[in-house]
Amino acid sequence: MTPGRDPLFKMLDLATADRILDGAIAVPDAPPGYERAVALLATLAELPASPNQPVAGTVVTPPQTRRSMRSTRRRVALIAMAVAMVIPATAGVAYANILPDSVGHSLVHLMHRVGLPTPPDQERNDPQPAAAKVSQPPARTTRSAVETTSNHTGTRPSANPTEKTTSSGSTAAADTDPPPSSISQPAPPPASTTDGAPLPVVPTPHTRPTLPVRATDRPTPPATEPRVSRRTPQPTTQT
Amino acid sequence: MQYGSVQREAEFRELLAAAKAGDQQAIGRAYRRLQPTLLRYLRAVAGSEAEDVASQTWLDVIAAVGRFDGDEEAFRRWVFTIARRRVTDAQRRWWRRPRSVSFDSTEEMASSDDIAASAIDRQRAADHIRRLPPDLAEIVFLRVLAGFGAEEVGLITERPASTVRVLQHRALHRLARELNREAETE
Repeated sequence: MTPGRDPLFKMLDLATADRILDGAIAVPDAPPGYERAVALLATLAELPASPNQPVAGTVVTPPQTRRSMRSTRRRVALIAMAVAMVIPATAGVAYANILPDSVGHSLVHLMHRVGLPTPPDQERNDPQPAAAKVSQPPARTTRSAVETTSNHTGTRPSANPTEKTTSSGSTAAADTDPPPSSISQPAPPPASTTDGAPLPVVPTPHTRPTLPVRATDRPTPPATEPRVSRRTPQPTTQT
Repeated sequence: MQYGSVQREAEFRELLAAAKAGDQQAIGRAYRRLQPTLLRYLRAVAGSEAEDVASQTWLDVIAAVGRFDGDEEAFRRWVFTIARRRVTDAQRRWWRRPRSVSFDSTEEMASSDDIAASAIDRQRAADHIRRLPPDLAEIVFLRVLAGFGAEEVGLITERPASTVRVLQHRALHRLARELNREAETE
């Protein structure tokens, strides 16, 4: 059958064919006999560029791209680098003993946990010599912890005897302070962990409030000691 | 002209100037704009050779972009014209090679009620278009897959737009006739 005699051919004019190929005519509006062709062209228009490319209406979880993995790795590396820089810097500041008390004690605890050596508590808390401690009046011990802290940090230099200017012009602290302990030397254990009892505190303006001893810092009992006997005392047999 | 189209045209002029100056990023941006549509068209007309033809097309575009002058639509037509010529080159090489196109399975087209549900496999739809004579199939692919109008297809295929309209009308008629015939035989 020639196209001219085909009734299907007469159902479609040039303008409608143009609109069908533009995608402007839906299947229900297609000329009679052209529904399948219009549906096929609509399907063809959704053809993806590649066989693996998802088509419209398909929900696909996007895989983690190499770029996003790289950015995650970079973020982790940056965080690790920041931590690696902050911890030694903070430890150095703690060694220099210029941190506030609360921060310093927290850092000391943290360093104990990690296993880093720290200066002895007494040295940290009380850098002045024993002779200077004895010369201080005991009335200063009634000061609050905040005041003693502010004295120690240098906000009131007149209250700190270690910074008294000597007649020679140099400061007493420079002459009497013990040399800072080296990091390479093993630090002595904290006072609270040696025998369980805190060291005697000299009542000076530099005295800092001692932190409560945490359960994790207490010495563990020897392994030979039977723990069961503490809870349930065994009956004693008299011979 | 709307502000968006003016801005887009200005962006394209910048892109084209940079591409002519050898800026690889500008070529990359043009590639990202056109490649999905180009590859979709090439997959329909060149099958498994589509990737190679697309690569050859972009090599030609890069080599000749210095001589191109026009707006974005003209650039798009120019790229597809190059692609069409590369397809012709490829077809010369493997024209007689048998293609694995199967038309024996048309279960999805049995019921006319399901036609609108897009049950036809997309690849099979492309295969149905390939059954048409090559000049008709090419026009349908350029119209539907590449999104060109009749005038643009005429510029690409070097035919008058009126001829393109007649050919696309003929293509639709043949396609409808084949599909209806297949539906009647099942």
